[in-house]
Amino acid sequence: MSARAPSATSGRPAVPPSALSAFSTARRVRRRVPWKLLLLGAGTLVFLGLAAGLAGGFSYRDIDAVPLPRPAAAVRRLESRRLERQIAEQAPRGVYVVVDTMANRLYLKNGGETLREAICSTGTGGVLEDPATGRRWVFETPRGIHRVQAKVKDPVWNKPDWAFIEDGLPIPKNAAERMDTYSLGDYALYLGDGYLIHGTLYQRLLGRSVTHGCVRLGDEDLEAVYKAATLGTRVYIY
Amino acid sequence: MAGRPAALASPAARAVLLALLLILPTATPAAAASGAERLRAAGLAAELEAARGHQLYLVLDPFVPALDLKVDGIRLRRFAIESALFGRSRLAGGDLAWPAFGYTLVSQLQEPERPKIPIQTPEPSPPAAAARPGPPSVLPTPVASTPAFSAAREEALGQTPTHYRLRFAPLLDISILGEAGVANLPGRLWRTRHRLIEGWEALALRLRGQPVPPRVVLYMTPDEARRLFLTLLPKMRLVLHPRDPVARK
Repeated sequence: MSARAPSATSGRPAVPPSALSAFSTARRVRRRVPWKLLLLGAGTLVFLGLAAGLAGGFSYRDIDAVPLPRPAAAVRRLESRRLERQIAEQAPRGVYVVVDTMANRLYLKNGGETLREAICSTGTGGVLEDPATGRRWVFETPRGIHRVQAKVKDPVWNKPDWAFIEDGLPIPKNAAERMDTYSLGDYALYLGDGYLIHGTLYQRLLGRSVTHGCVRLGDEDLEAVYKAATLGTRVYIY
Repeated sequence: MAGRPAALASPAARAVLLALLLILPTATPAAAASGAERLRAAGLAAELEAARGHQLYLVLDPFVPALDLKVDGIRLRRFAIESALFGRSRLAGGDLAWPAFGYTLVSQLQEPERPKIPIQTPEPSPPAAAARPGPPSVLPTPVASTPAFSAAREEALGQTPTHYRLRFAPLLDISILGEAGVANLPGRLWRTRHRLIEGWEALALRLRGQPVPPRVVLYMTPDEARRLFLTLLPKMRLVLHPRDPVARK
Protein backbone atom coordinates (compact mmCIF):
# COMPACT_ATOMS: atom_id res chain seq x y z
CA MET A 1 0.00 0.00 0.00
CA SER A 2 1.44 3.34 -0.97
CA ALA A 3 1.05 6.66 0.80
CA ARG A 4 -1.19 9.15 -0.91
CA ALA A 5 0.89 11.81 -2.72
CA PRO A 6 0.14 15.44 -1.99
CA SER A 7 -1.98 16.92 -4.70
CA ALA A 8 -0.98 20.24 -6.15
CA THR A 9 -4.57 20.98 -7.12
CA SER A 10 -6.35 20.09 -3.86
CA GLY A 11 -5.58 23.42 -2.18
CA ARG A 12 -4.70 21.62 1.11
CA PRO A 13 -1.31 22.27 2.64
CA ALA A 14 1.26 19.70 1.71
CA VAL A 15 1.77 16.91 4.29
CA PRO A 16 5.39 16.13 5.11
CA PRO A 17 6.50 12.69 3.93
CA SER A 18 7.52 11.58 7.45
CA ALA A 19 4.00 12.16 8.81
CA LEU A 20 2.55 10.26 5.89
CA SER A 21 4.84 7.36 6.63
CA ALA A 22 3.75 7.23 10.31
CA PHE A 23 0.12 7.41 9.28
CA SER A 24 0.45 4.55 6.91
CA THR A 25 2.30 2.43 9.50
CA ALA A 26 -0.54 3.00 11.99
CA ARG A 27 -3.07 1.93 9.43
CA ARG A 28 -1.07 -1.18 8.66
CA VAL A 29 -0.91 -2.11 12.37
CA ARG A 30 -4.64 -1.45 12.75
CA ARG A 31 -5.33 -3.81 9.90
CA ARG A 32 -2.99 -6.54 11.06
CA VAL A 33 -4.18 -6.66 14.73
CA PRO A 34 -7.61 -8.28 14.96
CA TRP A 35 -9.09 -5.69 17.30
CA LYS A 36 -12.59 -6.99 16.95
CA LEU A 37 -11.46 -10.49 17.85
CA LEU A 38 -9.53 -9.22 20.85
CA LEU A 39 -12.50 -7.22 22.09
CA LEU A 40 -14.74 -10.22 21.62
CA GLY A 41 -12.30 -12.41 23.56
CA ALA A 42 -11.99 -9.91 26.39
CA GLY A 43 -15.76 -9.54 26.54
CA THR A 44 -16.18 -13.30 26.66
CA LEU A 45 -13.65 -13.55 29.47
CA VAL A 46 -15.42 -10.87 31.48
CA PHE A 47 -18.74 -12.58 30.85
CA LEU A 48 -17.37 -15.97 31.87
CA GLY A 49 -15.81 -14.45 35.01
CA LEU A 50 -19.10 -12.87 36.01
CA ALA A 51 -20.99 -16.05 35.18
CA ALA A 52 -18.55 -18.15 37.22
CA GLY A 53 -18.82 -15.74 40.14
CA LEU A 54 -22.59 -15.80 40.00
CA ALA A 55 -22.78 -19.56 39.53
CA GLY A 56 -20.50 -20.29 42.47
CA GLY A 57 -21.87 -17.41 44.50
CA PHE A 58 -23.72 -17.73 47.73
CA SER A 59 -27.44 -17.47 48.15
CA TYR A 60 -28.27 -15.92 51.50
CA ARG A 61 -31.24 -15.94 53.77
CA ASP A 62 -31.99 -14.62 57.23
CA ILE A 63 -30.04 -16.48 59.87
CA ASP A 64 -33.14 -17.35 61.89
CA ALA A 65 -34.77 -19.07 58.92
CA VAL A 66 -32.08 -21.72 58.63
CA PRO A 67 -32.89 -25.14 60.10
CA LEU A 68 -30.90 -26.06 63.17
CA PRO A 69 -28.82 -29.23 63.19
CA ARG A 70 -30.60 -32.43 64.12
CA PRO A 71 -29.95 -33.04 67.83
CA ALA A 72 -27.99 -36.15 68.68
CA ALA A 73 -30.06 -39.14 69.74
CA ALA A 74 -28.59 -38.87 73.22
CA VAL A 75 -30.24 -35.48 73.74
CA ARG A 76 -33.52 -36.21 75.44
CA ARG A 77 -36.51 -34.11 76.26
CA LEU A 78 -36.66 -32.27 79.56
CA GLU A 79 -32.88 -32.28 79.74
CA SER A 80 -32.54 -28.51 79.54
CA ARG A 81 -32.94 -27.85 83.24
CA ARG A 82 -30.28 -30.36 84.15
CA LEU A 83 -27.91 -28.88 81.55
CA GLU A 84 -28.61 -25.32 82.72
CA ARG A 85 -27.80 -26.40 86.26
CA GLN A 86 -24.56 -28.01 85.12
CA ILE A 87 -23.55 -24.87 83.22
CA ALA A 88 -24.33 -22.75 86.27
CA GLU A 89 -22.10 -25.05 88.32
CA GLN A 90 -19.13 -24.02 86.16
CA ALA A 91 -19.41 -20.44 87.41
CA PRO A 92 -17.31 -19.49 90.44
CA ARG A 93 -18.87 -19.64 93.87
CA GLY A 94 -18.36 -16.35 95.63
CA VAL A 95 -16.37 -13.38 94.45
CA TYR A 96 -14.65 -13.15 91.08
CA VAL A 97 -12.99 -10.39 89.07
CA VAL A 98 -13.64 -9.36 85.48
CA VAL A 99 -11.25 -7.08 83.59
CA ASP A 100 -12.27 -5.41 80.34
CA THR A 101 -8.94 -4.44 78.76
CA MET A 102 -10.38 -2.29 75.98
CA ALA A 103 -12.55 -0.23 78.32
CA ASN A 104 -9.95 -0.34 81.13
CA ARG A 105 -12.57 -1.36 83.66
CA LEU A 106 -12.39 -3.88 86.48
CA TYR A 107 -15.51 -5.42 87.99
CA LEU A 108 -15.65 -7.16 91.32
CA LYS A 109 -18.57 -9.56 91.14
CA ASN A 110 -20.44 -12.13 93.11
CA GLY A 111 -22.83 -14.21 91.04
CA GLY A 112 -24.80 -11.82 88.88
CA GLU A 113 -24.19 -8.89 91.22
CA THR A 114 -21.52 -6.27 90.58
CA LEU A 115 -20.01 -5.36 93.93
CA ARG A 116 -17.63 -2.75 92.59
CA GLU A 117 -16.75 -1.16 89.26
CA ALA A 118 -13.31 0.39 89.06
CA ILE A 119 -11.30 2.29 86.50
CA CYS A 120 -8.04 0.49 85.87
CA SER A 121 -5.09 0.60 83.51
CA THR A 122 -4.08 -2.37 81.38
CA GLY A 123 -1.33 -3.21 78.89
CA THR A 124 -0.34 -0.91 76.07
CA GLY A 125 -0.11 -3.71 73.53
CA GLY A 126 3.21 -2.15 72.55
CA VAL A 127 6.44 -3.98 71.87
CA LEU A 128 9.86 -3.25 73.33
CA GLU A 129 13.02 -4.48 71.66
CA ASP A 130 16.40 -4.52 73.29
CA PRO A 131 18.81 -3.09 70.70
CA ALA A 132 21.77 -4.83 72.36
CA THR A 133 20.46 -8.39 72.50
CA GLY A 134 17.40 -8.35 70.21
CA ARG A 135 15.14 -9.57 73.01
CA ARG A 136 11.52 -8.59 72.57
CA TRP A 137 8.68 -8.04 75.03
CA VAL A 138 4.98 -7.53 74.26
CA PHE A 139 3.23 -5.52 76.93
CA GLU A 140 -0.23 -7.00 76.74
CA THR A 141 -2.58 -7.98 79.53
CA PRO A 142 -3.13 -11.71 79.01
CA ARG A 143 -6.72 -12.60 78.14
CA GLY A 144 -8.37 -15.68 79.58
CA ILE A 145 -8.94 -17.18 83.00
CA HIS A 146 -6.47 -16.55 85.79
CA ARG A 147 -6.55 -17.23 89.50
CA VAL A 148 -5.20 -15.21 92.38
CA GLN A 149 -2.07 -17.15 93.30
CA ALA A 150 -0.75 -14.90 96.05
CA LYS A 151 -1.76 -11.80 97.96
CA VAL A 152 0.90 -9.45 99.28
CA LYS A 153 0.67 -6.32 101.39
CA ASP A 154 3.36 -3.68 100.75
CA PRO A 155 4.73 -5.59 97.77
CA VAL A 156 8.25 -5.20 96.53
CA TRP A 157 8.80 -5.21 92.80
CA ASN A 158 11.77 -7.19 91.57
CA LYS A 159 12.28 -5.10 88.46
CA PRO A 160 12.84 -7.20 85.33
CA ASP A 161 15.35 -6.38 82.61
CA TRP A 162 12.82 -4.61 80.40
CA ALA A 163 12.17 -1.99 83.08
CA PHE A 164 15.80 -0.87 82.80
CA ILE A 165 16.00 -1.23 79.04
CA GLU A 166 12.87 0.89 78.54
CA ASP A 167 14.36 3.62 80.73
CA GLY A 168 17.67 3.45 78.87
CA LEU A 169 19.49 2.29 82.00
CA PRO A 170 22.10 -0.44 82.32
CA ILE A 171 20.81 -3.74 83.69
CA PRO A 172 22.12 -4.03 87.26
CA LYS A 173 24.28 -6.93 88.23
CA ASN A 174 23.38 -6.58 91.87
CA ALA A 175 19.94 -8.06 92.72
CA ALA A 176 19.37 -5.44 95.39
CA GLU A 177 19.37 -2.72 92.74
CA ARG A 178 16.31 -4.31 91.18
CA MET A 179 14.18 -3.95 94.29
CA ASP A 180 11.50 -1.28 94.11
CA THR A 181 9.44 -0.78 97.25
CA TYR A 182 7.03 1.92 96.10
CA SER A 183 5.81 1.40 92.50
CA LEU A 184 3.25 -1.37 93.17
CA GLY A 185 1.24 0.51 95.79
CA ASP A 186 -0.07 -0.97 99.04
CA TYR A 187 -1.25 -4.37 97.80
CA ALA A 188 -0.60 -6.83 95.00
CA LEU A 189 -2.49 -9.87 93.79
CA TYR A 190 -0.31 -12.25 91.79
CA LEU A 191 -1.93 -13.89 88.76
CA GLY A 192 1.10 -15.88 87.57
CA ASP A 193 3.70 -15.39 84.83
CA GLY A 194 4.71 -12.07 86.39
CA TYR A 195 1.27 -10.46 85.96
CA LEU A 196 -0.28 -8.69 88.92
CA ILE A 197 -3.16 -6.53 90.02
CA HIS A 198 -1.48 -3.72 91.92
CA GLY A 199 -1.54 -0.04 92.75
CA THR A 200 0.19 2.80 90.97
CA LEU A 201 1.97 6.07 91.42
CA TYR A 202 0.32 7.22 88.22
CA GLN A 203 -3.25 7.60 89.43
CA ARG A 204 -3.90 10.23 86.77
CA LEU A 205 -3.33 7.65 84.04
CA LEU A 206 -6.03 5.26 85.28
CA GLY A 207 -8.46 4.48 82.48
CA ARG A 208 -5.68 4.41 79.90
CA SER A 209 -3.77 1.50 78.43
CA VAL A 210 -0.33 2.36 79.76
CA THR A 211 0.94 -0.66 81.68
CA HIS A 212 3.39 -3.42 80.83
CA GLY A 213 0.64 -6.04 81.13
CA CYS A 214 -0.32 -5.75 84.79
CA VAL A 215 -3.66 -4.35 85.92
CA ARG A 216 -3.26 -1.13 87.88
CA LEU A 217 -5.93 0.15 90.25
CA GLY A 218 -6.49 3.23 92.35
CA ASP A 219 -5.79 2.92 96.08
CA GLU A 220 -9.36 2.48 97.33
CA ASP A 221 -10.38 0.05 94.60
CA LEU A 222 -7.20 -1.96 95.12
CA GLU A 223 -7.90 -2.27 98.82
CA ALA A 224 -11.48 -3.42 98.13
CA VAL A 225 -10.34 -6.05 95.63
CA TYR A 226 -7.53 -7.19 97.92
CA LYS A 227 -9.92 -7.67 100.83
CA ALA A 228 -12.63 -9.40 98.79
CA ALA A 229 -10.43 -11.77 96.81
CA THR A 230 -9.03 -14.93 98.28
CA LEU A 231 -6.40 -17.32 96.97
CA GLY A 232 -7.91 -19.07 93.97
CA THR A 233 -10.34 -16.27 93.15
CA ARG A 234 -10.95 -16.35 89.42
CA VAL A 235 -9.92 -13.34 87.33
CA TYR A 236 -11.45 -13.20 83.86
CA ILE A 237 -9.60 -10.92 81.46
CA TYR A 238 -10.94 -10.12 78.01
CA MET B 1 -61.22 -36.52 39.51
CA ALA B 2 -64.31 -34.55 40.40
CA GLY B 3 -66.00 -37.37 42.31
CA ARG B 4 -65.47 -38.05 46.03
CA PRO B 5 -62.89 -40.79 46.74
CA ALA B 6 -64.56 -44.08 47.45
CA ALA B 7 -62.66 -44.53 50.72
CA LEU B 8 -64.35 -41.46 52.22
CA ALA B 9 -67.78 -42.62 51.28
CA SER B 10 -68.15 -44.94 54.26
CA PRO B 11 -69.29 -43.44 57.61
CA ALA B 12 -66.46 -45.20 59.47
CA ALA B 13 -63.79 -43.54 57.32
CA ARG B 14 -65.43 -40.18 57.84
CA ALA B 15 -65.47 -40.72 61.59
CA VAL B 16 -61.77 -41.57 61.60
CA LEU B 17 -60.98 -38.50 59.51
CA LEU B 18 -63.01 -36.29 61.86
CA ALA B 19 -61.21 -37.72 64.86
CA LEU B 20 -57.85 -37.05 63.20
CA LEU B 21 -58.84 -33.47 62.45
CA LEU B 22 -59.80 -32.96 66.09
CA ILE B 23 -56.55 -34.45 67.39
CA LEU B 24 -54.11 -32.83 64.97
CA PRO B 25 -54.47 -29.18 66.09
CA THR B 26 -53.53 -30.16 69.64
CA ALA B 27 -50.85 -32.68 68.73
CA THR B 28 -48.84 -30.45 66.37
CA PRO B 29 -47.85 -27.71 68.88
CA ALA B 30 -46.94 -30.38 71.42
CA ALA B 31 -44.70 -32.06 68.87
CA ALA B 32 -43.19 -28.69 67.94
CA ALA B 33 -42.57 -27.88 71.58
CA SER B 34 -40.89 -31.24 72.03
CA GLY B 35 -38.67 -30.60 69.01
CA ALA B 36 -37.81 -27.11 70.24
CA GLU B 37 -37.00 -28.50 73.66
CA ARG B 38 -34.62 -31.02 72.15
CA LEU B 39 -32.97 -28.28 70.07
CA ARG B 40 -32.55 -26.13 73.14
CA ALA B 41 -31.12 -29.05 75.05
CA ALA B 42 -28.67 -29.72 72.23
CA GLY B 43 -27.52 -26.06 72.35
CA LEU B 44 -27.12 -26.27 76.10
CA ALA B 45 -25.14 -29.50 75.80
CA ALA B 46 -22.75 -27.77 73.38
CA GLU B 47 -22.41 -24.82 75.73
CA LEU B 48 -21.75 -27.09 78.70
CA GLU B 49 -18.90 -28.69 76.78
CA ALA B 50 -17.45 -25.24 76.02
CA ALA B 51 -17.92 -24.03 79.60
CA ARG B 52 -16.13 -27.12 80.95
CA GLY B 53 -13.09 -26.10 78.89
CA HIS B 54 -12.62 -23.08 81.23
CA GLN B 55 -11.66 -20.82 78.36
CA LEU B 56 -13.35 -17.83 76.77
CA TYR B 57 -15.93 -18.93 74.20
CA LEU B 58 -18.52 -17.39 71.91
CA VAL B 59 -22.22 -18.14 71.86
CA LEU B 60 -24.31 -17.31 68.82
CA ASP B 61 -28.05 -17.17 69.17
CA PRO B 62 -29.43 -17.07 65.62
CA PHE B 63 -32.90 -16.00 66.69
CA VAL B 64 -31.94 -12.72 68.38
CA PRO B 65 -29.33 -12.54 66.67
CA ALA B 66 -26.63 -12.07 69.29
CA LEU B 67 -23.01 -13.01 69.78
CA ASP B 68 -21.94 -13.33 73.40
CA LEU B 69 -18.46 -13.70 74.85
CA LYS B 70 -18.72 -16.11 77.75
CA VAL B 71 -16.61 -18.00 80.20
CA ASP B 72 -17.66 -20.64 82.73
CA GLY B 73 -21.27 -19.96 81.71
CA ILE B 74 -20.95 -16.26 82.60
CA ARG B 75 -21.62 -13.68 79.93
CA LEU B 76 -18.79 -11.16 79.80
CA ARG B 77 -19.86 -9.12 76.80
CA ARG B 78 -22.46 -9.02 74.06
CA PHE B 79 -21.32 -7.97 70.59
CA ALA B 80 -24.05 -5.98 68.92
CA ILE B 81 -25.07 -7.51 65.59
CA GLU B 82 -26.95 -5.28 63.19
CA SER B 83 -28.06 -8.08 60.90
CA ALA B 84 -27.06 -11.64 60.15
CA LEU B 85 -27.35 -13.87 57.11
CA PHE B 86 -26.69 -17.51 56.44
CA GLY B 87 -25.47 -18.42 52.99
CA ARG B 88 -24.59 -21.45 51.00
CA SER B 89 -22.79 -21.66 47.69
CA ARG B 90 -24.93 -22.65 44.76
CA LEU B 91 -22.27 -25.26 44.01
CA ALA B 92 -22.50 -26.86 47.46
CA GLY B 93 -24.59 -29.97 47.78
CA GLY B 94 -26.78 -31.12 50.64
CA ASP B 95 -29.54 -29.46 52.61
CA LEU B 96 -29.42 -25.92 53.87
CA ALA B 97 -28.86 -26.30 57.60
CA TRP B 98 -26.41 -25.45 60.36
CA PRO B 99 -23.66 -28.09 60.37
CA ALA B 100 -23.46 -28.50 64.16
CA PHE B 101 -24.10 -26.94 67.56
CA GLY B 102 -20.45 -26.70 68.59
CA TYR B 103 -17.48 -25.38 66.58
CA THR B 104 -13.78 -24.69 67.06
CA LEU B 105 -11.96 -21.76 65.51
CA VAL B 106 -9.28 -23.05 63.13
CA SER B 107 -8.28 -19.81 61.39
CA GLN B 108 -4.78 -18.51 61.96
CA LEU B 109 -5.32 -15.27 63.83
CA GLN B 110 -3.50 -12.30 62.47
CA GLU B 111 -1.24 -10.62 65.00
CA PRO B 112 -2.54 -7.11 65.68
CA GLU B 113 -0.43 -4.10 64.83
CA ARG B 114 1.81 -3.22 67.74
CA PRO B 115 3.36 0.18 68.34
CA LYS B 116 7.05 0.11 69.15
CA ILE B 117 8.00 1.51 72.54
CA PRO B 118 10.87 4.00 72.26
CA ILE B 119 13.74 3.61 74.65
CA GLN B 120 14.08 6.65 76.84
CA THR B 121 17.21 8.67 77.39
CA PRO B 122 18.05 8.66 81.11
CA GLU B 123 18.35 12.01 82.78
CA PRO B 124 21.48 12.42 84.87
CA SER B 125 20.64 12.47 88.58
CA PRO B 126 22.79 13.14 91.60
CA PRO B 127 24.17 9.98 93.22
CA ALA B 128 22.46 10.78 96.52
CA ALA B 129 19.03 10.85 94.85
CA ALA B 130 19.69 7.59 93.01
CA ALA B 131 20.55 5.82 96.24
CA ARG B 132 17.40 6.99 98.01
CA PRO B 133 14.94 4.05 98.35
CA GLY B 134 11.69 6.04 98.19
CA PRO B 135 9.74 7.21 95.14
CA PRO B 136 11.20 10.04 93.07
CA SER B 137 10.04 13.48 94.11
CA VAL B 138 9.00 14.26 90.54
CA LEU B 139 7.44 11.37 88.63
CA PRO B 140 8.81 11.02 85.12
CA THR B 141 6.22 10.79 82.36
CA PRO B 142 5.92 7.15 81.35
CA VAL B 143 6.69 6.61 77.71
CA ALA B 144 3.33 4.89 77.20
CA SER B 145 1.49 8.07 78.11
CA THR B 146 3.37 10.41 75.81
CA PRO B 147 1.35 11.92 72.95
CA ALA B 148 3.64 10.30 70.37
CA PHE B 149 3.13 6.80 71.74
CA SER B 150 -0.61 7.36 72.27
CA ALA B 151 -0.91 8.44 68.64
CA ALA B 152 1.03 5.37 67.50
CA ARG B 153 -1.24 3.17 69.60
CA GLU B 154 -4.38 4.75 68.19
CA GLU B 155 -3.02 4.29 64.69
CA ALA B 156 -2.27 0.63 65.40
CA LEU B 157 -5.80 0.13 66.78
CA GLY B 158 -7.19 1.82 63.70
CA GLN B 159 -5.44 -0.78 61.56
CA THR B 160 -7.26 -3.62 63.27
CA PRO B 161 -9.38 -5.19 60.53
CA THR B 162 -13.09 -4.52 60.37
CA HIS B 163 -13.72 -7.05 57.59
CA TYR B 164 -12.45 -10.57 58.14
CA ARG B 165 -13.43 -14.18 57.85
CA LEU B 166 -13.16 -16.86 60.49
CA ARG B 167 -13.04 -20.55 59.64
CA PHE B 168 -14.46 -23.05 62.10
CA ALA B 169 -14.54 -26.83 62.30
CA PRO B 170 -16.88 -28.53 61.49
CA LEU B 171 -16.79 -26.51 58.30
CA LEU B 172 -18.37 -23.11 58.81
CA ASP B 173 -17.14 -19.68 57.77
CA ILE B 174 -18.16 -16.57 59.60
CA SER B 175 -17.64 -13.30 57.77
CA ILE B 176 -17.53 -10.27 59.98
CA LEU B 177 -18.43 -7.14 58.08
CA GLY B 178 -17.92 -4.06 60.17
CA GLU B 179 -19.43 -1.38 58.03
CA ALA B 180 -21.46 1.61 59.04
CA GLY B 181 -23.47 2.52 55.96
CA VAL B 182 -23.93 0.03 53.16
CA ALA B 183 -26.97 1.42 51.37
CA ASN B 184 -24.92 3.92 49.35
CA LEU B 185 -23.41 3.22 45.95
CA PRO B 186 -19.85 2.43 47.11
CA GLY B 187 -21.30 0.06 49.68
CA ARG B 188 -23.37 -1.73 47.08
CA LEU B 189 -20.41 -1.94 44.70
CA TRP B 190 -18.21 -3.31 47.46
CA ARG B 191 -20.83 -5.91 48.30
CA THR B 192 -21.20 -6.95 44.64
CA ARG B 193 -17.44 -7.34 44.36
CA HIS B 194 -17.43 -9.33 47.60
CA ARG B 195 -20.17 -11.65 46.30
CA LEU B 196 -18.27 -12.23 43.05
CA ILE B 197 -15.08 -13.07 44.93
CA GLU B 198 -17.07 -15.46 47.11
CA GLY B 199 -18.34 -17.15 43.98
CA TRP B 200 -14.88 -17.51 42.47
CA GLU B 201 -13.52 -18.92 45.71
CA ALA B 202 -16.36 -21.45 45.85
CA LEU B 203 -15.75 -22.41 42.25
CA ALA B 204 -12.03 -22.86 42.91
CA LEU B 205 -12.79 -25.08 45.89
CA ARG B 206 -15.17 -27.23 43.87
CA LEU B 207 -12.62 -27.55 41.05
CA ARG B 208 -10.10 -28.80 43.61
CA GLY B 209 -12.68 -31.28 44.90
CA GLN B 210 -13.00 -29.58 48.28
CA PRO B 211 -16.27 -28.85 50.07
CA VAL B 212 -17.55 -25.28 50.13
CA PRO B 213 -18.35 -24.32 53.72
CA PRO B 214 -21.62 -22.60 54.51
CA ARG B 215 -21.17 -19.01 55.52
CA VAL B 216 -22.62 -16.79 58.19
CA VAL B 217 -22.32 -13.06 57.60
CA LEU B 218 -22.52 -10.85 60.66
CA TYR B 219 -22.89 -7.12 60.11
CA MET B 220 -21.77 -4.95 62.96
CA THR B 221 -20.28 -1.51 63.48
CA PRO B 222 -16.56 -1.12 62.69
CA ASP B 223 -15.80 -0.65 66.38
CA GLU B 224 -17.59 -3.84 67.36
CA ALA B 225 -15.84 -5.73 64.56
CA ARG B 226 -12.44 -4.50 65.78
CA ARG B 227 -13.35 -5.32 69.35
CA LEU B 228 -14.39 -8.84 68.39
CA PHE B 229 -11.16 -9.30 66.43
CA LEU B 230 -9.10 -8.35 69.48
CA THR B 231 -11.10 -10.75 71.65
CA LEU B 232 -10.48 -13.83 69.54
CA LEU B 233 -8.18 -16.53 70.81
CA PRO B 234 -6.69 -19.50 68.96
CA LYS B 235 -8.95 -22.57 68.92
CA MET B 236 -11.76 -20.58 70.50
CA ARG B 237 -15.05 -22.43 70.81
CA LEU B 238 -18.23 -21.19 69.18
CA VAL B 239 -21.56 -22.53 70.35
CA LEU B 240 -24.82 -22.29 68.48
CA HIS B 241 -27.32 -21.84 71.23
CA PRO B 242 -30.90 -20.98 70.35
CA ARG B 243 -32.42 -19.82 73.63
CA ASP B 244 -35.96 -19.97 72.37
CA PRO B 245 -36.26 -22.11 69.25
CA VAL B 246 -40.09 -21.88 69.34
CA ALA B 247 -39.95 -18.12 68.89
CA ARG B 248 -38.24 -18.39 65.52
CA LYS B 249 -39.85 -16.80 62.51
